[in-house]
Amino acid sequence: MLNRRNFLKNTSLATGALLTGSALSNELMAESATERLTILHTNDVHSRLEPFPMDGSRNQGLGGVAARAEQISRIRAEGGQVLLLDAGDIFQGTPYFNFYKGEPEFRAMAAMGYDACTMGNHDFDAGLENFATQLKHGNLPLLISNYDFTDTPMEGRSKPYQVFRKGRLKIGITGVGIEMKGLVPDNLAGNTKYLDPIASANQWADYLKNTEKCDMVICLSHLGYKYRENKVSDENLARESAHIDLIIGGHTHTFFDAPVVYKNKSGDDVIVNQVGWGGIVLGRLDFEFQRNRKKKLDASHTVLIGKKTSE
Amino acid sequence: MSKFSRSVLQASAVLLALAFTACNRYYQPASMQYDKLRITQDAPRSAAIGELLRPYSDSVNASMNTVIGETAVVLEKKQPEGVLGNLLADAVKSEAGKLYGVKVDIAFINYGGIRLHQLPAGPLTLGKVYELMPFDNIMIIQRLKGSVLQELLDNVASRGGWPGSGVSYIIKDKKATEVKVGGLPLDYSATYIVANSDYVASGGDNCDMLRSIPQENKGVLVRDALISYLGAFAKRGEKINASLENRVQYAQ
Repeated sequence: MLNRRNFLKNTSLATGALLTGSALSNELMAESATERLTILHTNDVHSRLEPFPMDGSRNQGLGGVAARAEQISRIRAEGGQVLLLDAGDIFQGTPYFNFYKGEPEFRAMAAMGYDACTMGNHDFDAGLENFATQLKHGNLPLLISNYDFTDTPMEGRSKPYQVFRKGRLKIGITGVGIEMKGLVPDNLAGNTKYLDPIASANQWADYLKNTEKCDMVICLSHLGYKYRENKVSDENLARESAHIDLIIGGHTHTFFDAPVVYKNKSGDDVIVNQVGWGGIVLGRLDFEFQRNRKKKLDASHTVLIGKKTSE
Repeated sequence: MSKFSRSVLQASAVLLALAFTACNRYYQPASMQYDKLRITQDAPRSAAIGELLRPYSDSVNASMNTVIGETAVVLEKKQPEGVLGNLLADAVKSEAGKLYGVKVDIAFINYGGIRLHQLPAGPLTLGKVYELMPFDNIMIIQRLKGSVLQELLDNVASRGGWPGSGVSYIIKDKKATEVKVGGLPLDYSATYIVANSDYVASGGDNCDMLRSIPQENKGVLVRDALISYLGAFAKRGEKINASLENRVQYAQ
């Protein structure tokens, strides 16, 4: 059903035709040459544990962790490899956070089996000591490469990256957070030092690709999709990166119609996606990996992207 | 060794070498299909997660479902000016005046701090006010020189305009022009009493010009001030409403 795949216009026609051909032949050929991974993701859930209230407002009835959890478990039941990720601003936005300071948010994430998250500016809202306490309920790593938490209650509680084995795939994940100045009050940021997110992400992506030999590098980002003013964003990160394959974004609450593809410094594809906020949408990205015969000799690599048909 | 077996060995060596090369970078993402899974109202829900949440939700809902008033119409959040913003700014000006016992000249609500796009018409629950203003920010006052107020308004203008009470301005080239306080042109040398959240007064949303100015702080949350102001409508037998008054405009 290739005609139903709706390939995106930003993939050039020639490349599109070429890869469509190879995608077709892969379907016909033995499965062993390809590996698959499903990435599920959220961002800016903002303590939206229950669906939006039924009060006539725009989002009424949408979201909620119970329905998201059910969706996730059905996808897991398909039997494939799954990574479940969050790009920050887990906290703040409903009375749950005012009452419980993030405990049910992280407990729900643990129950859903989230593999990793990064930190958003609102995750500072009840203080770093609180964040460190609640994070334990999440039973997941906090991945952030550009916050130095030395001499804060978060010291030793975050990691710049983690490598995940998913079947035969090795997936490296790093994370970046937004500059706190003007966004996070000084008393909440404490001694946290903000480092250049592009330099930090590139440093760890290089390590993950070239030293750890990861098949894919993902960056969880709370930088925001893009800005009119001169402010570092996922768009900048994508273009100035070298070894990141996928950026799972947040902060700007942007509902993407489809993932956006950028070319990095080497002309390789970097995919950026973000799913708005409030847990209204669960992002699903189904990747197909192929054996890379020529490794570094390969010309720039292009990822063909298309809308999943629900058959 | 026979010629045959040597060639097999050589072939195996080539395969082994290939395998090692491949190990070096084994797989690469080649294609991706995406889906946006909208979590809809009728979507099946996990009973286990419902159980996990129940102790939290029982206690949250017990207090948050309390109705504190009734909105007359849908109150929208809009830039440069919306009724919801005007209502909230009026609330802070009025409540800060009572709390601090002074005549507050201006109150601001930072636009990004209003976390709902609208308040629907009808009964207003306490939970809704929490969603509207989830932050535990404190309502403070500062005494600002007119020149500092202009700097603050220029930052506000560059961000598309914030709701204000007691102030009007026209945004032109990202600056606040034709500023009026209490209906009178802004006087750079006068001192104005301005109510804000401690978030803004401490430099949030790039309000660096406010950082060094002392804050009077009685520890009352902005949200609690809103609850008090909004709850008073029902006590007077009124529905909650506000109007557009050309407080903030974009230059034509």
